[in-house]
Amino acid sequence: MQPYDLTQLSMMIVDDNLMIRRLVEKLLNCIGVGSVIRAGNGDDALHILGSTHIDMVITDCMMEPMDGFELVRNLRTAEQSPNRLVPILMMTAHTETWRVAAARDAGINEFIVKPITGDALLSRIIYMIEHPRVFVRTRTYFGPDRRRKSDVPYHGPERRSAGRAKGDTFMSAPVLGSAPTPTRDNDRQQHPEFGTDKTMRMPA
Amino acid sequence: MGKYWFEVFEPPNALKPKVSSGCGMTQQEMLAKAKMVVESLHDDFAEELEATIEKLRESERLLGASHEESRSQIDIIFRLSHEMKGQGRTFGFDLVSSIGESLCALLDRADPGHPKLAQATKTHIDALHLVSSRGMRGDGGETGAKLMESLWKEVEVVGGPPKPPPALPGGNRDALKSPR
Repeated sequence: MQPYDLTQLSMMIVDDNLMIRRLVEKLLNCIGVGSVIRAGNGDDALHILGSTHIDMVITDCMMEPMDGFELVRNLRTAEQSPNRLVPILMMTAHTETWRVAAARDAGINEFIVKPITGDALLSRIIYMIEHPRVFVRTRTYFGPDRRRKSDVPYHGPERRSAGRAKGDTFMSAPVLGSAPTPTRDNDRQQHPEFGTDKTMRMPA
Repeated sequence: MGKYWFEVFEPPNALKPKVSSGCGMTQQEMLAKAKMVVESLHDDFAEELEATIEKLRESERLLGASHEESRSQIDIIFRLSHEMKGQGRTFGFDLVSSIGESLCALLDRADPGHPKLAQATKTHIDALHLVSSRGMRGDGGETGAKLMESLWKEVEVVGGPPKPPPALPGGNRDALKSPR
């Protein structure tokens, strides 16, 4: 099993609950994370992110005045966003499917359900290090690819329309199921905005 | 711009190069340390639980004072019980998480003006007090199971069946600001 040296990482915990903040901070410190920064709500987090480099944000969803969903949307889509690509892990005790979908649609990378355990938190962090997601931009969404199994080949009719009844508004963003998996090296180019590989682009 | 216009980017992995020095800890070593950290916070949570029960009692006393006051206190109680739901199991108090879940369900489902809401809320707070005063760790065994059965019955009677999930029409993300 390979070792991880997390001393070069800077992580931010955003939670209005002192116990959870203390717990996550202690967990991150004990596994060797170099810098752990705390924020009590989304506003504070954005303020800190504007002046400090953060490698990963771990946020709660229920906070005031700015909750976790709004924080994530601000980070992903606001013009003044300090870091649109920062990996975001959302912690929540809400497990309803529609809330998970809402968090995903806001642009989180991973999700962890409270009660938090050391095992679950570690697994998610390591997963985010080992399996970064590609990013997708549509007219209504910017953030990590929301499909879990993007490498599953699909052969069939247009999936955006297939299985989507007229007037179905559960998911507000377009379903991206028909996008081919961006794995072929010869599809990639340098992207001017982020200096990253652009793997695929649909014609405007 | 076409209806289904989209772009896919593959940002460079900014994390991996920072953690791959060859030193550090394996995941198993990290996990062993993490377990010790969580255990070291069990007593802190027990103290936090007592303080939360006091706050819950203060709010519960104000239920029924007026319609607006009740709504405001219900919000406070929901938030506190939601925190208990999220934290209890982490710190070894599984029963606290279960009671928090039941109280959240009660407040989520019940009409704020229901005549038995205050009493059902008080029953939940009393249950939390019981767990706290007896220092009941884990799920509480048979006693815990009976306790939860009676609390969920209260939820069914006062709150009724679970609410269906709300639809999320495009752009109506403001609905998410208030989790209830």
